Amino acid sequence: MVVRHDLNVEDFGKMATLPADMSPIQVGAMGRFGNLGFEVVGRLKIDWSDGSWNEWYCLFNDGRDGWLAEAQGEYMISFQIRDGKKLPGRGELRAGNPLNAGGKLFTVKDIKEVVCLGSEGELPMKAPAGRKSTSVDLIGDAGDFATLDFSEEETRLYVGKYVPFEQLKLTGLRELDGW
Amino acid sequence: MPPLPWATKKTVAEADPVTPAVTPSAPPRTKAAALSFQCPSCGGSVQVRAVGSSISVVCGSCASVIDAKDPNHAVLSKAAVNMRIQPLIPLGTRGKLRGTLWEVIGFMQRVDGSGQYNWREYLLFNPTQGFRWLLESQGHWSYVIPLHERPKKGSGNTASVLGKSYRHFLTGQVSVQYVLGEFYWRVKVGDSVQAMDYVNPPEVLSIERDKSEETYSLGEYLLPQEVRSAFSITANMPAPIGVAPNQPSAFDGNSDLRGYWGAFAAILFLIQLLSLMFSSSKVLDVSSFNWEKNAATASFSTPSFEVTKTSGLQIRLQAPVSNNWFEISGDLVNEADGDTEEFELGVEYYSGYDSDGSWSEGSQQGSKVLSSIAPGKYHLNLQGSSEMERMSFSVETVQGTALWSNFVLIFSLLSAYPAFMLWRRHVFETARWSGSDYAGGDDE
Repeated sequence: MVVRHDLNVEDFGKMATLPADMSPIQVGAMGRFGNLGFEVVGRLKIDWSDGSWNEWYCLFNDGRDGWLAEAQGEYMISFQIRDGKKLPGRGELRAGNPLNAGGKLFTVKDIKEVVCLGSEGELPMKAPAGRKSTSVDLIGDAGDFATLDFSEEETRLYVGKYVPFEQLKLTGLRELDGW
Repeated sequence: MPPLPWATKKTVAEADPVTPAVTPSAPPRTKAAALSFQCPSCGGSVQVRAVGSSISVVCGSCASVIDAKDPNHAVLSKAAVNMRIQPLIPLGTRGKLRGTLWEVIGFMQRVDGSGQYNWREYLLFNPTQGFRWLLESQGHWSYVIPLHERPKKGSGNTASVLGKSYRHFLTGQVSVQYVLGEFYWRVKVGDSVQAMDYVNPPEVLSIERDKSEETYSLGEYLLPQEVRSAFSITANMPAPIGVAPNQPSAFDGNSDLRGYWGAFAAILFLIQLLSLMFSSSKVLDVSSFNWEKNAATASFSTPSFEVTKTSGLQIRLQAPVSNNWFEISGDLVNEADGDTEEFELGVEYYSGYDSDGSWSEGSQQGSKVLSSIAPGKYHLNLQGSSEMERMSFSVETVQGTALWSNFVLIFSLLSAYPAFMLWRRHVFETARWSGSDYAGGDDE
């Protein structure tokens, strides 16, 4: 768990301070996904060669936990699928390949080599800065979304949906200077 | 699968509803703000507005493209030094479009494969909505949304996405010619992609592809006035030239016109049909004559007959011509005032045998209608002509023939405007498609 301090000249360089961004979401924000309410309790910042995005760890009021991915104005809520089904190998998939996951059909959208820049708040696992993985994003019909995370330790599958910002009905958002 | 090591986990239901929802382990984040730094190349001030999202930013002073993610702000490339373009909408301008406030954070000019034809793109940013583009080409504007749905290719050069089908307009190579501000990828002057545009006015679907990825976007046509008022532009807007690929047709909204035309045409036809049904024709006179080429009497006259109501008067000629022709020229003489109306009428009939069998052409009967003849006493004066020596013929005068000429006239007048609009629409669509890969055809 990485606790983030406000940027302090002495600490700069010593800790894996997450780079600043214009995200309106912050730990403590609350939102809705369909009938469920959720609270944002943690964050991972994921980086790749052509950008970075936030993965917000959320607790839902049906007892489940899931992720709110936030990338360039796009928001995806997904939940890990642990149904024991065999998952593809790390180098097997290419853009355009099909995949059945969580009872739905998806197509591979892109494959990125990513690194975790750091984290804050509460998380379901250790997320050391520098953890490398291969992230595969898939899209399905009607806004269905899935992602596969391949790392040295294991392969994880998440299935969910693209959600427009307004539908998330977020409260407790961060103040944005000038906005 | 071993259980994942959990840190602390609490559910929302367990949280005390009274205390503010701020977890004690993470302090509240500071207000987000744009950041500034010094250009490593020239020392000029560089600003990044979409912090965390923009990954390259152009120094406004020396046109170096800088890595916005790199804390050392490494220079990635040099943007075009020989050009200097002043964007119509300056960087930092904010405007409201589609219910959201956008800030212009980037500007780019791109050029087609020939190098002759360029256009400008403004990158719009909003912290919760992400990115959009404002595209200006030949004075025409589009509001462009990046798509994250993969379009499907359809039959006959079409592509479809989100339930709509688009027609292929053009495919070409597109290169970046000039950049200002910031972008969400590592932009470089000279970057080239293959672009495919598909249209369904007012929308245009664009698919751009290079060796590493494929991106999709949907552009919606905007009127210059919309852009001007959204971004409070005081400078002169570029004048629109020609027809843009996704420009909505000025002549599509005329389905109302077609409806009215159809109704009037139907009513007109019905009136004509009724008048045909209810007109009672009455034979006023039947006369037979023997015509001889060299006869002393060159003209004939029918006895007087009475026209009882204003109508079309039909003159029917019958002559047993065979491989020959016979014509009469005549006058309808009004016995009351001596007014005459001239007419000409002829018959011709030919027949024979050839390799296909027997054939025939023409008729031994002919007729002419004299319109709107008022009631009164009349007779016909007739003269015949033919190549033959002699011919017997009969002339029948019939009252009450319904006229088609009025119907045809009114119908033509009624159709003039829709026909004109149809022609204008054709011209418009031809202009639209003249810039496509299909110049020479048109969209109908």
